[in-house]
Amino acid sequence: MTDDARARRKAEQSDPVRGRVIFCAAAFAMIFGVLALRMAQIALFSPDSGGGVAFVETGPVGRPDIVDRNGVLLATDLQVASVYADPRDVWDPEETASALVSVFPELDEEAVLAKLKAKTGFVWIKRDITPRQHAAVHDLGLPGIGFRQELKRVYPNGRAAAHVVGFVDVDNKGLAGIERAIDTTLADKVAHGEPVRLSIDLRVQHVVEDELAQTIQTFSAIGGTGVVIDVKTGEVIAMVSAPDFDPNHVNADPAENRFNRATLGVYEMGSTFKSFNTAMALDAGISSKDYFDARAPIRIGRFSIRDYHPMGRALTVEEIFEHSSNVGSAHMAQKMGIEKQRAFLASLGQLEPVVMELPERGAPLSPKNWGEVELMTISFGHGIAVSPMHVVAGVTAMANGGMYIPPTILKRDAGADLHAHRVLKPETSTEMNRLFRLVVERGTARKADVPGYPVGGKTGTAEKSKAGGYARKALLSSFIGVFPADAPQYAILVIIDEPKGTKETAGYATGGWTAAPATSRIVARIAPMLGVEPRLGPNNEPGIADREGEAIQMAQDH
Amino acid sequence: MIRALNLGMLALTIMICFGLYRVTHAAQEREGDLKRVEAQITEQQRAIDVLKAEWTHLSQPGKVQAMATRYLNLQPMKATQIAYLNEIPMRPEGAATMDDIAAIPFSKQGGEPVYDESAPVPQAKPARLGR
Repeated sequence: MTDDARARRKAEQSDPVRGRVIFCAAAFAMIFGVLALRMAQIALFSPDSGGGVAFVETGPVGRPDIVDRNGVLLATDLQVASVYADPRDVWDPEETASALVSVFPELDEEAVLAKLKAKTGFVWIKRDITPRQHAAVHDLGLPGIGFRQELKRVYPNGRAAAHVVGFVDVDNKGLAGIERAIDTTLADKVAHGEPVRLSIDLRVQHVVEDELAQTIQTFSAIGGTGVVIDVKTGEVIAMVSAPDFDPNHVNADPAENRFNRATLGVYEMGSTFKSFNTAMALDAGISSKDYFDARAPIRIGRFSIRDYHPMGRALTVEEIFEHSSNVGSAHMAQKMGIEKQRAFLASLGQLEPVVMELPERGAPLSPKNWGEVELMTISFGHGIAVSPMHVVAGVTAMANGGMYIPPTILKRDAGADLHAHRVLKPETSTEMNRLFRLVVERGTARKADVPGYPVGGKTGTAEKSKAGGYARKALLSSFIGVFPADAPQYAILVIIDEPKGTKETAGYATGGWTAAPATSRIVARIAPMLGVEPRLGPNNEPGIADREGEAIQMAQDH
Repeated sequence: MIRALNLGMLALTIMICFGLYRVTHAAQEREGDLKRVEAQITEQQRAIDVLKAEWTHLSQPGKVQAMATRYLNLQPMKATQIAYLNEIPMRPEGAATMDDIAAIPFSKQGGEPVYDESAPVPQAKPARLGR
């Protein structure tokens, strides 16, 4: 038996055929083993071809939503159908055209017929149709007519912040505002699927729009501008340019309504510019108690600089600011000199377009030959034209401790780099805030104040330059304010373009009569929204109010 | 023995084929389900987008303001109407406690609560809102 087995084993070992069979079997077993393992691996661990489980195909790639700082929708993409025709497949162009016009009465039958006879493979019949029209055309069952789902840009808030948001053309290309910036300068900053978050607060935006519209109506003005900015971060909280337009129906309003007065328009701002002149002087070591001559008008060349309300005596810096003396301001500027003035305005960003995300940014008009005359006129805001946003950004630096922060229309995260630079000493800023408050307490801007939310600021009334001179009756009346006055958190600029005086204002249409009261109403409404702590203490500081008079007043109201 | 092994292998092969077929079929079915659900999600997402846009359109501050001035007896809040927490007086000594309040019977007979007729009544709310 053992012999037999030994013999067989010997035969096995020696049989070459058997050895090859075993070799082949082993090789095949190995290959199949590898295949089996790979199959198991694919079946168990590999993701399917559709990508991750949470991946959802959302149709054509659209534009990012635009939302305000609180996430309220300002622009979004909605899917709508559009009708197209493939003229090669159309059987009877005449019949097809009349059938289409029966659904779209606004279309011209001749034009449609021409399209249907065109020698191409694709023509749009009507973009952006309603679901009802979609069903109607579908039911006509016309050969060669088809639908394409398209994304349509929708602005659910309509006119609100229209100049900031901008608008797109029929192919969803951004043509203005942030919409345009998304396609150009912001293109690589926009994360896919993430909304673009503006610094605008829609509630504040609405209040500014509302009050501005009322003021424009009251004074029969041709337009206006309103800007609110956070002086600590440079974030623009509201930006209004009136008249405005509806980005959903861009062509329904006159084209000039699309002009953004707040950033693109440049104006000679008038007395609000005295804030810069005064800050420059104070920062150079002049005290607000120092005297400057303001006794007589200045004559230089063919110009004469005079005051609206001549005081006929020497005035302190404080009084010059408070009474808005042109003569005093000019003398202050003369003491500073041309180079100093130019350098200071440059550091305040007043000589270059404002650095911000909107494509509509006006370049300031500054004198080519900056001489003695220009030195003096610029001190009170003539001879240099800047955009309202320039003034807001400059005053922000006056109010926030002396840092110039380039304004932004996008929400800034806490701790983000502000790209700020120092332009004033902190003491100068403190002094400027005191002067701003003086103007409201006893100067030209008394109507700007709000009980509980003290406002500081400076009025401006500029005569608009009209072909080779200044028009007496065409005014640009403005007020630049900061609040709360003791420790400013926000700056606000209101400009009314060509206001006409009313009976109530005794014919006056200056900044103190138009823009200042509008500012007061705006601040009263937005300060609680913005969480500004009311100043109820005896000296307008945060504190407990003396409520006795108030209680009596409320009882009488009811 | 070889024959038994072959038979066994054949049976196993048939079983695996059948099993594989079933798994593939089930997987295809699931894939179909997945596509349907994804299409549903997309559709719902679009519906949500439309509703969001509509909600934003209807709750515009301008529209809310127009409604509020028409139907509500509310006015903008004044600064003087804001008070600090420490302005609220502390509870005086001997004042009623929660237990005292709980012990007050609502009605002598039980049932209908007793109203103080002299107390001011809130102004009537509008009967309906909007058109």
